[in-house]
Amino acid sequence: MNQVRTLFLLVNTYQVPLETIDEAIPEHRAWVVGHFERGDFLFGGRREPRTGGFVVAAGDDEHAIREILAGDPFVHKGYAEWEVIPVVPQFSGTPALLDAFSASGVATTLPALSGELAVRVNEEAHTLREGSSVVDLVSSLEWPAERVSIERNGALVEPEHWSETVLAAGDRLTVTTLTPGG
Amino acid sequence: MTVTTERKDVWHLGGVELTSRLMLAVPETAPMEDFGEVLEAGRIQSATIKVSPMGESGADGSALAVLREHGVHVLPNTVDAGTVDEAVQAAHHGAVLAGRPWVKLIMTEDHRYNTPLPGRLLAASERLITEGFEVFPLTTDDPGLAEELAALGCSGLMPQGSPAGSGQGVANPLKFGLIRERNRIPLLAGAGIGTAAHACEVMEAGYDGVASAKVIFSARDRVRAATALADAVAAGREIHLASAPR
Repeated sequence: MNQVRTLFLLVNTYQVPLETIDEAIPEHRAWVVGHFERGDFLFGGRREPRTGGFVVAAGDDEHAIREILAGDPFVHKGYAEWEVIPVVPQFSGTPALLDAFSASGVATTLPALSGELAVRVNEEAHTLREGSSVVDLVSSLEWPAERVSIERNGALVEPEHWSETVLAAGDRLTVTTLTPGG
Repeated sequence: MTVTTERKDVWHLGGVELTSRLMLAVPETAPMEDFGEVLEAGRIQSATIKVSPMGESGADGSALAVLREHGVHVLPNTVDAGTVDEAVQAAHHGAVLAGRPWVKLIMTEDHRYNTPLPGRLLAASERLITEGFEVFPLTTDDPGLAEELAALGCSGLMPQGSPAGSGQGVANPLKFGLIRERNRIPLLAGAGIGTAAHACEVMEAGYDGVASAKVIFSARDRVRAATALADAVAAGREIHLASAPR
């Protein structure tokens, strides 16, 4: 990938009756497929109920995206209008989706490299290798293991279970200690 | 100091046998540079510190490490827990870190005086005792509440002589004495000890121990104050043992 690109949510709204749209669909579809092949578009489809369509796209900037959209036969004919919404992916349930963004060069606030695992430690973002256990988490911290206790998604993880407890993307971890006070 | 008792005067904090009756309450502001010396001078065998997220207000576990190096038994407390659930969770963390399922249970929303909230104190005590914890609640000087906590199976009680941090000593000696008379479980003055004399008075009244921070950590010479406080506690204990039954 050459440079970091931005993710866009593109939504179009039909301006003419569906019979008119249907006649122009083959032309529009050929244009869409071309951009999937070039890697500009990541995934897309139609709106439900059928009032238009959507695409999630990666582009250098909004201007570049609008140039692409100007090539849509629907736009030439005045059949549809596009809305362009730049977005930043922050949450994902699957590493595969992150990998797809990464392959498109899209900027996310999640780790863009395959094999990484994004978790929250004491409310802050923390990155581990995929497949990491609580032991790996603890060794990635700046504090000695014997001074910490670990909670994962609200449940205490006893030290004897640290090695077998494998972390998942989005896990919320709390690291506690004993400190003066009370 | 010469101890004249024939056999060693030991007592039990939960399952732990101790000879020192001074529990160190370590305040947030405690300097670490002479902490080890304070522990030695005060003959400290037990201390209470709080469960806290790592990194919050500089929490790094260094005081815990010093306490361990000196062989001090660490009794975790739940001062930052507002709800029963939070207190139970904090106690679980404390048990992992202390290596022992015990807790100085503090249930308060008052971070100036640690005023105990009786309903939550009873509820959290009951849950933790059911889970097998040794529970030492920071309670008020109310004999009725003490009776209920003891009936639940608390392993000891830590009544406040006066509000935490106030240093006013035992504000109501009659109520403090009633708690002693009516309970056989270990009792420690849990808060309000502002002078070495207060500590001596509590021990003379037959309490098993004293938890204090103020006498040492507000002193100009903390190490010397620790020695003096330990001596005052021991003197109070001696005169209690020497006195005719009351």
